[in-house]
Amino acid sequence: MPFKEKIAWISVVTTILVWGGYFGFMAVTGQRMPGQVYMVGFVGAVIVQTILVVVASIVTAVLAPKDASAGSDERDREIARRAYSIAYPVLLTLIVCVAASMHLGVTPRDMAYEIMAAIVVAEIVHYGAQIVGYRSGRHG
Amino acid sequence: MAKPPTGHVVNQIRLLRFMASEMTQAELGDRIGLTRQTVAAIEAGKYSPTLEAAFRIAQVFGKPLDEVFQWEG
Repeated sequence: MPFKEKIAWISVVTTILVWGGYFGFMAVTGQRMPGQVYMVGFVGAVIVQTILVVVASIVTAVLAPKDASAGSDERDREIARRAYSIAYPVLLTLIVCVAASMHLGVTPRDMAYEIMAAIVVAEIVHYGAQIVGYRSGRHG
Repeated sequence: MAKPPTGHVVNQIRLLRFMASEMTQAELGDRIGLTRQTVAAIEAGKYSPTLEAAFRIAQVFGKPLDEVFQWEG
């Protein structure tokens, strides 16, 4: 498995776990807790995901140092470009939906959380598209 | 709008590596600036390289491009 695909797997799994946990907690508590709780949770989620991705990437690089130091080649760049071209419209669509939700009485604070969720979904699509690119082939 | 022709690119890289003293995918990749995984994807027909990479591969084996890559329609 290419090193870049391993990193995409690490990123997508940690994103789903950490941010799924964060937004799941938010959905379960129905935002009944003080705003500071969600703010601390947000900062905690950023820190936890950063640590998980960095540690998992270091372990992966140590296990396959040659692959890790190989850098990107034309196939990696093509897969990355395609992944962005798929994720970007998803992000734009979700941001437009968030903007439209303003007319449904959504508060600015909720909109901020919706924008965060849109970014998380777009990132999951981005990493997912990279994985599909490496798995399926036929992208040259 | 004109329909694109159906078909795919096939290649003789596995055979040419065998004839070049069992050159490994990693060795070929190092010589043309691609990763081993990309060479494996090209060899398996899962990735069509850029024209530049295709010429570099042909150059490594000292063959014209059409002896390395063919269009199968």
